[in-house]
Amino acid sequence: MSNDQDPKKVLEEMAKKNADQSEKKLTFDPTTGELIIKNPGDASHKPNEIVVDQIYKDGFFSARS
Amino acid sequence: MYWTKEQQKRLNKEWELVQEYFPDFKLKYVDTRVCLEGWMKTNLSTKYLVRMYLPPDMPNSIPDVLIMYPEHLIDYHGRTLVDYGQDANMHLLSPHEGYPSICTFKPTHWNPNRTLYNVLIKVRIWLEAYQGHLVTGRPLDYFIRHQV
Repeated sequence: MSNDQDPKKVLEEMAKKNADQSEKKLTFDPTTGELIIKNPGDASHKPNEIVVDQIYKDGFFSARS
Repeated sequence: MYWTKEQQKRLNKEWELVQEYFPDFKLKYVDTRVCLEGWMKTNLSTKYLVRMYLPPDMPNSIPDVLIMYPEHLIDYHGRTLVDYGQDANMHLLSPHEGYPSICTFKPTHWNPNRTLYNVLIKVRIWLEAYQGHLVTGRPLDYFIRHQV
C-alpha cells in the first residue's frame, strides 16, 4: 500500500507541493477526517475517499494588511 | 433571516454534500444568523470547533469561517492568533467576535458555483498547515500556497 497518512509525512508533502516539487495527490478520507498523500496512480481504498488536490492547488487568500 | 426559495433549494443541496463529507457538522442559528458548526480533527488527532456563517446573499459571497475552540489559539511562539489581526503569511483575516477568522477564498476567485463543501475542505487543509506551524514554527504559507 503506497498511501500515507503519517502526520509528519503529510506535512512534508504539503510543503513540497507548495514548492511544486511533488506530484503526489492530497486526499481526504471523510470516515476518519484524515488527509492522506497518494501517488498519482494509486486507486482509492474507500468508496467515499476524495482527491482534494485541486482545492489545495487553488490556494488560499492572503489578505495584506 | 429571510431566504428565498432558490436559496433554500441551494442550501438543501449544499447540506446534503456537507453531511456526506463532514457528518459531525450541524446546521444552527446563532442569533439571527445561520451557520454550520462542527468538529474537525487533524492527522495529529487535535480537534477544532469550526463555525461557518452563511452569508445572507448566499451563494454570492464567501462564508466567514471562525475557529471557536480551542479558545485563544496560539502560534509556535505563544502569541495568540487573534493578535495577528489580518496576516497574509498565516492566512488569517481580521478576528471576528474575538475568534480567529481564516482565509479561504480570495473574493475575486469566488463565484456562486463554489460550495460550502469547498470551503470546509480548505478549512481542513488550513488546520493541517496550522498543525505544521505548531510543530515546525514555519508560517502557514510554507505549507499552503497563496491564491494569485
